[in-house]
Amino acid sequence: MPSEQIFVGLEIGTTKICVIVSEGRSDGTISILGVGETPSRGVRKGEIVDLATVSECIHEALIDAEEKTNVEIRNVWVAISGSHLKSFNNRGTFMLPEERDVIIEEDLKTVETNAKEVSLPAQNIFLHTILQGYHVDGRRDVIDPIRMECQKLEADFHIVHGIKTRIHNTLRCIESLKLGIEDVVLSSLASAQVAVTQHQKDLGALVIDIGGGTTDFLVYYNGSVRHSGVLPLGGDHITNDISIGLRLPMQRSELLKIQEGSAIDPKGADLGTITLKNDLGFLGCDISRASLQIIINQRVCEIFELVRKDIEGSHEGMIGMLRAGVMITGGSSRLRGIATVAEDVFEIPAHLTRAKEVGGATQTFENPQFSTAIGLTKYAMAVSENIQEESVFEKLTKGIGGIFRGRSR
Amino acid sequence: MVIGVGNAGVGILDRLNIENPGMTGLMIINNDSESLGASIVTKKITLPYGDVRDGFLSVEEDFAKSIEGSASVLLCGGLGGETASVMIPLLAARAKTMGLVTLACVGIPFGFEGKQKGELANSALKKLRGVCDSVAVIENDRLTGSDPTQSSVGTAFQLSDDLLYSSVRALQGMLITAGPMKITRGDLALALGDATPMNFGYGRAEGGNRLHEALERALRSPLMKKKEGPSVIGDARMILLLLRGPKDLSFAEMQVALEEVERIAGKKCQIKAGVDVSALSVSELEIFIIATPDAPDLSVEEKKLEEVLDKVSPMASTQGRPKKEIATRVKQHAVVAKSNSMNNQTQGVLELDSYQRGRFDKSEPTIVEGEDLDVPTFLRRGIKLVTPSK
Repeated sequence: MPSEQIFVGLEIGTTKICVIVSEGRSDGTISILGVGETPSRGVRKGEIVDLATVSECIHEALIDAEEKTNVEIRNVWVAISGSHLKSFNNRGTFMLPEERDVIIEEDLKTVETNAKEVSLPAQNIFLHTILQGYHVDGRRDVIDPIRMECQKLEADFHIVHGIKTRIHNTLRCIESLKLGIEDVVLSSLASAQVAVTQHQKDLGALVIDIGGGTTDFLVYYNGSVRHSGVLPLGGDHITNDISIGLRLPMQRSELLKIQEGSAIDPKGADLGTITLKNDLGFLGCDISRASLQIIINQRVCEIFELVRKDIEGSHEGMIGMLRAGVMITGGSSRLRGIATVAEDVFEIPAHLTRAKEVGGATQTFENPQFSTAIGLTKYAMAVSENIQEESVFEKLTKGIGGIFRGRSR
Repeated sequence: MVIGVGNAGVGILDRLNIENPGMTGLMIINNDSESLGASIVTKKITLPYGDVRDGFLSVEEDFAKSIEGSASVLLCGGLGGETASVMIPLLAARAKTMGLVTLACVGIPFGFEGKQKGELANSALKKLRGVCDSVAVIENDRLTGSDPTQSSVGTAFQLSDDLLYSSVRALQGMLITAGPMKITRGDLALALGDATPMNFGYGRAEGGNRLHEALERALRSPLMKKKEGPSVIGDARMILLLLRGPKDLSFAEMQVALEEVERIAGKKCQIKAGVDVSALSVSELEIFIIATPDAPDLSVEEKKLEEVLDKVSPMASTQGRPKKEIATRVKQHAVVAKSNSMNNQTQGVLELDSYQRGRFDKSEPTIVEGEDLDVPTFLRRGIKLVTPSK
């Protein structure tokens, strides 16, 4: 591996498509060389609905990035989202053969394969198999069991799976541009790479990436992924609610959300009015600030409540144990008061977060919109040592989507 | 034993026989010898013309003899007509005295068929509830959906026949499931309860994606719709799910069906599933769903009302209308709405769906626990907005 390597992260979002070109340094940090970005068309709720248009948009974003960075982009890392992605935790067990009592590398693979022996719905494939920890003869939390002496090796995995055709459609869209795909990564896993530090992962944290069309979330506890999920709800819904509630055109609602929007519940207070100036095809009007906040507050509350419900459905009481609190990132995290609402719903501290520990074009990583794409390059850097020569289609079909071995960092 | 009474009943049994050749335990009773003669069902009892009650007395012994030995009796027909409305309760009472499990599956006529028919049907239904173990009710008025002007009379009657037929089919299927998973009569009685209008869905499909297609059709059946809102399944207390198909019905299909229904219905809902792989058709899969709604408790409703009112109170004060007055108004409204539903009267509801979904109008809906999340939260929760004070 050369001392410096280029990683390109591609995120096909509902609002925008962005390409981040990063340079991996030998000391383990990354530096952003440049960002290519275009507004997204043909994507709804995180899933591609118009292949040709999306291909065009990706092409524009790539050219934008190439021009800014002077790097010729050949291979990309792709973030994937959509409500079809589901997850569960499972344990794989492997009894060592009689003639051998020391764990070798092969055994780790076997144990992973065993953990994946569950019946997925026929149309689904594995996307990630994220290691949570090994158990050696019942001893918990073993980090590296190789060369340890034991009879029974067990390992817990967090397994993410999704509908094959939907994942493949995203890949097809990119392959049609003659781009190579290094790997497909769950959006929330990518965001988490930059949104939380290792220390926070150990303490326990809930990462919520609220984008335009989806809300991706991931729970870390004791340093590993315990739960993940995707809700097909996001900033677009907030805008749509405003548009319906206040009877405004979509664009006007979007602008109002960005300029004046707040998620704080007015609790009956009269907050006065906002005067909207008239514009081409739009008569000016007065709207109540309290109404605007009620609409946003209701939607944001609901999104968080659904996240909470989803986590508690499989891990009761876990939210209370997350000592690092809730980390909110993604484009919609810029909404005023969103952290306060999160604190009310989850009853633990909530923080806004964005990419940290990166150098380069600073304006870029200060914007939480880019968390996923930056996270992708960081993820790429962390796993690039383990990549095997295989097409990404083969990988997915074979079900070794997660080539990621070792603890997820 | 399935017994069809009256013209509608004869029609249902004919269809049952045509679509499931070789089915046994069918019988028809009617006073129209022409319709009886045309029917392909072999066991027939002809009622003499004239007063139906006298007719019953004359065929009572015949009837008793022919149902002797069967474990259960399922009576079906369209209420509203003279024959079915009078005969079904009498036959049910007779079957009950013989100690048989007695079920009835009846249609309630459309509102436009006349007041007299409606009254006759309602009084018959009241009697049926008294004698039968359970009664499944198909309200024709619910079939036309929210917009009666849009449905043609022909389609409406066709639909009503189809549904009555398929619900008889489902009940019959649930009664005689050969397994491997059975729905017991106890489950059935529990799900049908004391004959609130039945929420019933039926779908069938074949081919590679048969499960999803059939399930979708079943969930979209007109009788699964609430008067207001998307689907009854979201707040159902209990759901009976019967999959009936060929021998190659896979375990995965069964699992997906259960998961899907559970996902929509939520975890609180009790789901009873049955599988019947004895169907004669080669590849067709049929899905039957009966959902029992959570009986709304008035006290709970009132409590919720107070909460909502607390939230709207700022608006109330800005408009200078005392909160109490609104409270009584809303309550009156709720009571009126309730008594309306008790009389089985339905009122057309203006569909606001497309408006409420805004830009997500054409996209795949996001349904979680029966709620369409694309509709603004504040609308779904019924929260009032503040109008700008001038």
